[in-house]
Amino acid sequence: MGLSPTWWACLAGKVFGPAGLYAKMFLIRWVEEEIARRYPDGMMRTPVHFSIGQEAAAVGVIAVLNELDQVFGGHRSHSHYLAKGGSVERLIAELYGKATGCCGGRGGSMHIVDESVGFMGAFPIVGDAVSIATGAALAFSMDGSGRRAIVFSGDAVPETGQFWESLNFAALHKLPILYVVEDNHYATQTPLAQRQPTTSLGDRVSGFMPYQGLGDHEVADVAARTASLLSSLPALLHIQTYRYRKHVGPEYDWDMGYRSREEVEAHMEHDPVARAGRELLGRGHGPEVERIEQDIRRQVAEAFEKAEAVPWPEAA
Amino acid sequence: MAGGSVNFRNAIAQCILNEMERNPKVLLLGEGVSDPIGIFGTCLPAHARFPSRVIETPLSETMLTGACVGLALEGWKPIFVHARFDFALFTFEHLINTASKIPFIQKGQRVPIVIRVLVGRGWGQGPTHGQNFAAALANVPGIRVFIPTTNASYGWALWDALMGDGPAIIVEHRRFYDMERPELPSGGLRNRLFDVQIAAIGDAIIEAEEAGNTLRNMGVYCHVAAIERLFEPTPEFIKGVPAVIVENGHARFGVGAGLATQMAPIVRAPIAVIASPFSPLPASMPLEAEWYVTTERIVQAACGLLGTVPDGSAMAAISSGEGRDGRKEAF
Repeated sequence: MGLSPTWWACLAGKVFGPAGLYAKMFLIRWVEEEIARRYPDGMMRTPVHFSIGQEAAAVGVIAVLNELDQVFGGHRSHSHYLAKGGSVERLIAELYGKATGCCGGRGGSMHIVDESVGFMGAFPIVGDAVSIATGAALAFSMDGSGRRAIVFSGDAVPETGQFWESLNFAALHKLPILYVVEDNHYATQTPLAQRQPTTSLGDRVSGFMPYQGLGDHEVADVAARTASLLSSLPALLHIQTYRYRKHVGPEYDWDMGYRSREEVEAHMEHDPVARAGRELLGRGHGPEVERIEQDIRRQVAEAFEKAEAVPWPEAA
Repeated sequence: MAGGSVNFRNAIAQCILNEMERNPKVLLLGEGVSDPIGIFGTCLPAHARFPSRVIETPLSETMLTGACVGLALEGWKPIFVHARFDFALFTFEHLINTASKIPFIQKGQRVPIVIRVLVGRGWGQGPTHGQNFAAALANVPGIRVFIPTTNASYGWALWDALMGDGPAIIVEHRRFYDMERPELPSGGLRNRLFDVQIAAIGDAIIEAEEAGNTLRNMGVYCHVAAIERLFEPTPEFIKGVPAVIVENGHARFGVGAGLATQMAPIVRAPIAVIASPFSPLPASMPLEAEWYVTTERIVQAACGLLGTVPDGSAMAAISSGEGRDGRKEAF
């Protein structure tokens, strides 16, 4: 494969710094752009919830974790899986329903997992992952292993009972867990204002544990704030982010009427991936950026070729 | 475990203690596990011996079931207990959507979580304290439902549940708790020619055993068995012998109805299902007594399959029910 050991290390989460963060964000963006491009072929017969636009939240948080830490996700978790170092080949093969997929084709886009890198699974029923991660944190607490659990949720999760039950339990037992709410403002097509009171989530959560709210425009800022919050677990990180595509599927959806094209494009103007790329170029890292992007494009293309070539799973 | 004088409650307590001694990864969780009652005494010995592995919980059953899944992913074996099956409906989310699916989705990933649920009976438990949802969970692939009816089969059920790949439910009939539940005599009996067989689910085994004795007094050779594992074939049924299936549950889409369909091509003889009316359980004593299956109904059904009439004096000898439905006990 084309990537140098350094870049592989970046992708596996072992090297930080602007280039490493950019490489991971670009990997996620490119994988999903490629899924979107090939999706109309009809070979990936699985509902895909695209992370495009939300890469900085996943990469910023996961960049400051260590390899013992475990990450849990939900239905929109390609970004978390890849940020933690999950295999691109096994992800794409899973979307194709092939035997070499990370679940042998039995799970699809919403059930991706790569325990070897500490991505413990995606649990697509909203709220479920929070409870499972809380149990894992209880295990770490009892084991004395020093591990930490990090669970990514959407902005609808604070509407579930499991969220508050988990916060209560984690605060009671002082569990090593970071709850991350990626707030993209919509639950499918329903805006936040129709689902929650206007009081801040921070006010609601602060009776249980430390809270930090922030935006995702600057991935290094997400990483820095995550790192500081990790010293006072349990804690909750609330990241304002934005999804560019439909709730599920590769298309843009401004013709549906629940949000305007102007709103989507305003967010795209502040795209965190493009911003990180521009910063590297501005510091004279143009050749490196080019090499990162080329390597990733080649790696992703190979993953698709392999996924198309490998056999179907055998019936049980 | 000591011999014949151990009641079901103490047998459960001892089985849990044994498993926690055997495996340092076994945990016991639930609301009330560490209080002075300790889920009707079943958690007291474990709490006294292993206080750090007996975890008192808030009333957050959905989250806690998910937490059991998380604990299992990290190598622990949690036993999560609910003083009533009615309280455990919050566990269904994780039982059905995560725990039973993970071993299917991720080959080799084990989620050995055990959910203990007690089915209340007597003292007017009423519509929301005496329900049994075994049929609903038995319908989900990946969930193993155990309904032990003897001290020994409880021990095997708990051991098997903890050794499994996925989630298990152990349905505990509160009615058994103060009874001695030794093994039924069986063995060589299978080689005899039977006129009729009775297959009972859960606490209906008590009426089934009594019906079996009544039928034998009438000269009818009757085989009685409990169906205790709802996730695998049931070798308890004998080919070619008319069968009465009996349960304290609804006939409509129930465990008994499912078994009758499943066993029909194997039994190849008439099958009758005796069950409760399709109505919630009422609290009032006479209404409650009507809801549960009776020995008389089982005997009549068996005779009906054989085309005979129950012997009057044998029917009259059936005990009134005092002492076997737990009326004297506050559940």
